[in-house]
Amino acid sequence: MKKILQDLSQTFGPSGKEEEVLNKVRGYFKRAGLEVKTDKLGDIWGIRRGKSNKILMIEAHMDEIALMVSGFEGRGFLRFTNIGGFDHKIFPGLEVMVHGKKKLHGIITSIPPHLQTGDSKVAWKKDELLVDTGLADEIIRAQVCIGDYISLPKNFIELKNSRVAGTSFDNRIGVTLLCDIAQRLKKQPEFTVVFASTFGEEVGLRGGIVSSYNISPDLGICFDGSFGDFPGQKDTSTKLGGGPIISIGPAYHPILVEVLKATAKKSKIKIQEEIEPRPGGTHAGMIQLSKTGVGVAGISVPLRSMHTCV
Amino acid sequence: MLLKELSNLPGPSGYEKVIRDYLKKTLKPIADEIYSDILGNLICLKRSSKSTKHKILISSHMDEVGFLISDISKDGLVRVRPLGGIDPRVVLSKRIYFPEHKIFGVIGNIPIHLQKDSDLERVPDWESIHVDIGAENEKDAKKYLKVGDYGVFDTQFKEIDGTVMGKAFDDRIGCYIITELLKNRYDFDLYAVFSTQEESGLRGIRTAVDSVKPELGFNLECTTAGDLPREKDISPSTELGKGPAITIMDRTSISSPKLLRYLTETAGKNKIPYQFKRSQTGGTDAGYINTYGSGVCCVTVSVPARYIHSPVSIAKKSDIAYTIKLIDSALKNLTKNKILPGGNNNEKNN
Repeated sequence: MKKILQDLSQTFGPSGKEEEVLNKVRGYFKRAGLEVKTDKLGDIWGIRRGKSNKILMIEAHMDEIALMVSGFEGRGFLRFTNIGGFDHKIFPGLEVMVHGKKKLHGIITSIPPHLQTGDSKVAWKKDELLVDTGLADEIIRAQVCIGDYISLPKNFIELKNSRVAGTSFDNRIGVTLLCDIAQRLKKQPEFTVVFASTFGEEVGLRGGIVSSYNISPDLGICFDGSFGDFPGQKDTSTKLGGGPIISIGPAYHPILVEVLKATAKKSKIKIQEEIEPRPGGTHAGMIQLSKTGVGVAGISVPLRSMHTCV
Repeated sequence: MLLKELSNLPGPSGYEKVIRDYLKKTLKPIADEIYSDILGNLICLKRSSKSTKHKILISSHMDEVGFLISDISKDGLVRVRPLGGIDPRVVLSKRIYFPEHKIFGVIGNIPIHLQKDSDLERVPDWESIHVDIGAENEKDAKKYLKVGDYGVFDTQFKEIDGTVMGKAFDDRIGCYIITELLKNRYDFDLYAVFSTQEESGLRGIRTAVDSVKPELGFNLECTTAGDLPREKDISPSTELGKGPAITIMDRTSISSPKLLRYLTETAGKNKIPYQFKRSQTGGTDAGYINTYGSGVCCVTVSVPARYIHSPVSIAKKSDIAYTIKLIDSALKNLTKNKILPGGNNNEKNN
């Protein structure tokens, strides 16, 4: 499973340009023996036909947050904007890759202490930061267009206690679970299972809507990443190593939540709970509203430092 | 390429052993004498090709900016303090490597979803910067690391066309240039000093210069390039691709006017592009070479790099090559041009 996560998290698939990840997922679904379908917008489904026509949809979004070239500043520097939600305090000193005609290494600018004039206690503003490729302006303008994507560093580091650090674990961790469960589901199930790896969640919940419309599931389970404990973070008590997080709130069907909890108890699996009082921030809330309505459960893996590069 | 190894190896201020050992091994075949002192400076002698015994110093510092572990908290997260000048604004979401126990860590951050508006512009202080090594709790973390262990940015060297990117360019580029120069033999005794603890207050050089007692010094550095495109940004200081940057004056030293003139004339004769460093900020080992004993004429020549003291800097190979050429040409003609003390123009010396 770690191998799948490494493979998927080191593949670049920002919202709107998920093809590379989609192709990887297709490979995993095919190797698991699933029937594979894609839709017009960029979702991919792996289907395991069951004994009945009832459908369980297991969903995880495959897109990740990224940056995009928004202009040229001269001397080989690029202006950029963000695709998805970022804390711009992580940018200065970051190594990025500009996906132009060729892939170009870049560094996000910072000012060394020796040359600083302003207040060093104030974060640099987002529009003060640029991507420096170190290349001449002519080369940059020939290789890069406005609208080209910029990826964050794709390192994958093994830490202690089998913990790993990398980028885009939100939500390649969910896609990894899809691929892993697909491989385990060898016997024909009682009902049909559709594994849906969806696009465009980080920019306003797109793929979940069209996928659930097309699949018409009877039940849905959504995999995502959620907030693991970190100093200074209030209202999050879910811990790394504390087991899967079951979401509770208006988006999640109470009976399904109870079934999951009972199953965990029976199988002696540690679980954690997280409340989501305002539904609609994830694909789960969209799948719930599909057609005449779908009972949905949400299961998340606790991640630290979501929406950063580590 | 030697610069790649020098950039990737870890050696922050006070913990330069890995760099020293690497340089010692590399230079053994070409140096006539090689030794280190109590402060860990590596001193390397290349004897004169003639019987004249003038002593000329070339120096660069081995240390880079890095971290020391200051505290391990109950939840197993590690806190660090900077060794040398690191702006906390460049560390969030970066990776740190603790070489003594080969441990990797990442600097975490509260996700944007959970930050309050007041957090968005707030720069974290070192107490609230947490390095995650994957430990479950304090006891677990202490199996792998302890307070006082050192760390460096985890950055891999890259070379793309004529551009190099990596950590520790300040001052492994200087070290690299000296290793190139030591391949030559000049008509004086050339003492190369690879100093320690420059980033924590120009410390190693003080004892090294005392054991060498040079007559003249060239300090090789990597300095701030400030050539960002926006008008209002910062003083250009130096610019990439414009050749070696010669320091006239900085926070700790005033370069010898005689040496400045000599270097610019040498550059002119050999068609080597050069620039002057246009900011006076920052101090270098030259400050202590300059004021050693009864005084030593000294000049600092630097390769410009953007974003020094951050996880990754960027420099041009052409600037490195021109710096090597400039210093080599200057050293070759030093005796002929009566630049050495004891020459006819000694009285006009500064």
